[in-house]
Amino acid sequence: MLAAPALMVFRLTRVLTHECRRKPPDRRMTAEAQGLPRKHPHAAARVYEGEAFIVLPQFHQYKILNEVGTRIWDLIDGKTSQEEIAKVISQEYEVAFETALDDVKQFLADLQANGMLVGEESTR
Amino acid sequence: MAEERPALGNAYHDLVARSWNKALPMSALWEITYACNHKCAFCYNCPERGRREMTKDQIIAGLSKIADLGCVFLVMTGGEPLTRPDFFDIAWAGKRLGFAIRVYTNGYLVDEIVARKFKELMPFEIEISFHGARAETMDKLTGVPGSYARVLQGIRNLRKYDLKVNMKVPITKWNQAELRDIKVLAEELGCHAIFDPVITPRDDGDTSPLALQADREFLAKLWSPEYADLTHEEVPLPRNDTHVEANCGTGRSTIALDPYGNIYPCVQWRRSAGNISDVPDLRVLWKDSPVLNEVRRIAMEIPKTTLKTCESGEFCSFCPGVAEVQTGDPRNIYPQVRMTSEIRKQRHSEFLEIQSRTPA
Repeated sequence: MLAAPALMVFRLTRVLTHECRRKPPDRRMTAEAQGLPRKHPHAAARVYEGEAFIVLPQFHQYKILNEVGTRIWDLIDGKTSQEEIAKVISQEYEVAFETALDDVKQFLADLQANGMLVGEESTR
Repeated sequence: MAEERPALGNAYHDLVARSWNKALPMSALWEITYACNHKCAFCYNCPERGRREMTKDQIIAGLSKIADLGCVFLVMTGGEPLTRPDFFDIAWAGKRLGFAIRVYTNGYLVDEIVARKFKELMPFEIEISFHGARAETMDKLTGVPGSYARVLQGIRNLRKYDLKVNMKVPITKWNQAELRDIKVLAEELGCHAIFDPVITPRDDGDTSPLALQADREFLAKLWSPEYADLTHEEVPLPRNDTHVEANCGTGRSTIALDPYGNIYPCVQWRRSAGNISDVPDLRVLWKDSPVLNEVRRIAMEIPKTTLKTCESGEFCSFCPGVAEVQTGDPRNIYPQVRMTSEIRKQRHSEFLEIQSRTPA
């Protein structure tokens, strides 16, 4: 079990190493991302030393997630709801379910806003 | 070409530095064919006559092992990778395995249909070799009349779909006077131009391509403020080895394969660590291979030995693979690196001198 402050550890670390030539995706959460979040098919990811490194070819960007963000990323499979994800996080990180759910929702919204989940930007 | 050394203060570069220090595999480069429709005078490839290249299924099986190893980038190169009719089948297999794909191509075969296929595939970037601002120059370097016009159209086809295209320009005696015009052209096309002053010997040690490298007088200009817009360096800076121990990412952040499935620590250092078809689990080879462990050890020694004994070592962009193929020893300074590091050091000293004379 890892104890950690919720909001801080969920914060998405943005890393922009390539010029972004396109307008960023719509920040509104789609119904799909709110319900059963699914990774964007263009997002390529691997985990290095506990941190997910995510490449977004459609925006020419890299992102790096911290430990909890990486755990949530692992749980995103298009079949697991945000409530179920929050439940796992609540158990593994000893945070109240309501807190975990709020943070998971915010985190998923961040992922969506950054084009990492299927939504309006999806092309396939 | 030597990799860019990771800088501090950027999360991505921090990760690359860790990958060099701890051997975290991030990028696999695969020469999926040696077939090519250009005949570049400085090409380093050495196809084995009569040897069969890997089939699509063999390559895809290999990609699965590379995905298990943990690489996130897959560089598809050649030869000319688009000469394979199954190129997009392989690329899509890589995409499904979770790779971010980079393609190194000469762009000659990128017509409207191919460009649309790239749009669907959405590679991270496409790097196109480009050799001159004038058709005569480029066609002479590629050995193919009409290549300039075809490649230029290929780039336009890709850019129409807003794909990220880098124009990679190996600097040679023949095109050194056209670099600025190439940059203007790249800007017009919405591309990033990458100028590479490093010409390497062929993989079999044949040094004939070196006859084409840019001359010393030009390189001295290249690293002056006059060309800072091309080199992105106002003044050449010494290497910063404080946060990376290894000379480069060979066998640490990278792995390379040839069309026959041979595994190398990187594209330049052709010491085979095995064949991908014979390796049940690439993770075991990555950890235990005597070849990979040896090149990692040498890459760690170089900053403390080779570069310390070289007068301009702190300005060396040293490649042990080139050193080995050219001198027989990966620790030996080779003529091109000696020349470029001397020029860079001299330019740096001149800058410091001017600075010291300038009133505060």
